[in-house]
Amino acid sequence: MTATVYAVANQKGGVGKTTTTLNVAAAMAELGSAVLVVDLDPQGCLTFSLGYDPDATEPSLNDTIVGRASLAETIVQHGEVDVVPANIDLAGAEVTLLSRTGREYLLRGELADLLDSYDAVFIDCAPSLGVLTINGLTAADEVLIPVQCETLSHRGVAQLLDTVGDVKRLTNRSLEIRGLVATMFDPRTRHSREVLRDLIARYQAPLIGPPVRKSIRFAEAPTIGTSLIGAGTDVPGAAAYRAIARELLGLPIDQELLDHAGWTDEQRDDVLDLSVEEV
Amino acid sequence: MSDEPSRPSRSRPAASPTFDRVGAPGQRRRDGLGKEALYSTAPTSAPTSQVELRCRRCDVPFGRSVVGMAKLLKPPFLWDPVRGRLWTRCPACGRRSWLQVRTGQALRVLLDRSS
Repeated sequence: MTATVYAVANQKGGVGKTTTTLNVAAAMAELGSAVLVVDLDPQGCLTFSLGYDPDATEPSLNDTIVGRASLAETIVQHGEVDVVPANIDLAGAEVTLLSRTGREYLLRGELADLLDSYDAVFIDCAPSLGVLTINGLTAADEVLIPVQCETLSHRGVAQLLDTVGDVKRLTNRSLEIRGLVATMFDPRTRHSREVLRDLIARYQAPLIGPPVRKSIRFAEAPTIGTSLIGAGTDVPGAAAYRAIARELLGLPIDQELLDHAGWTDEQRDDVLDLSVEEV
Repeated sequence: MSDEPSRPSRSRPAASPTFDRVGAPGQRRRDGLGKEALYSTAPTSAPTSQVELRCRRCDVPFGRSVVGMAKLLKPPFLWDPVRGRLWTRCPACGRRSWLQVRTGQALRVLLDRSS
């Protein structure tokens, strides 16, 4: 087994990168896959969401960056997935790496030894473009782009696609864009629907699974230290993440799951405006 | 089952002119001192290197000054003057490998001025 490495990236903040990473990874683990998640964000939100105190977790990813520990030594085994934790010290990694030739390849090199131990590796990138995000994209096979369906997030996708172009040209020719994950989707607003349609049409990027509906449960989940999937919370968003995980694994998606995620054929045609009026 | 004929459908949604200002990627001028400065391997990020090297194992190109190049000559190393390559530890991947050595832009400029 060799893991597929997914970078979950969008330079825009607050679009649901961490929530997407955590819940898709947990949904894959629920299907029997061995999954590793790497927290590449100095804010340590993924680490915190899994119930760890980022400031009390040692060693962390920063120890790997500065050469104090291998990536394998930093792995913490959570009940759902394995995690490489991060904390605010990772902010210094940008400076540590900046003068190093081949700095883009550090994470890729560290992950290489672990790929045989997992089915999937998810890298939760920081909401900025820096050496760490370039490391995440260089280490990845595929990029998942979480996108909140609103104008500034749309712009973030344009910027990320430009960055992916740079990474493919300079450090990782085999990097592929797997597609968009529509997050915090509210089908009742015309703006949400317009943005989603335009993203799919303009960038020819496929939409992975159904859009993830907005729910206060996602905001509450980090306090319990587990994903919504692991907590067994039954909301349409959790069903959407299960469908996304199945799509990434190439498994069939039950209509019942799509219905539960609020994405029936009629809803899909209506939201994406796929019906054509006959003249 | 309804007798009403189903409406034909598109396979993809249509783009909206509302978002044209958001812009498609790839229209930006490339600047070695801008976004590309993040990449140690970008051709534009090392415009003043005196010696250009490329590792045969990791395929990472990078630039060095003459002094930096001299630091690579720590034993054991091998120099192949016929093919212009050096066997030493690659600073990018840390493994011993053949590095292709070429004169960099800065050294070419210096040599041109002196001749």
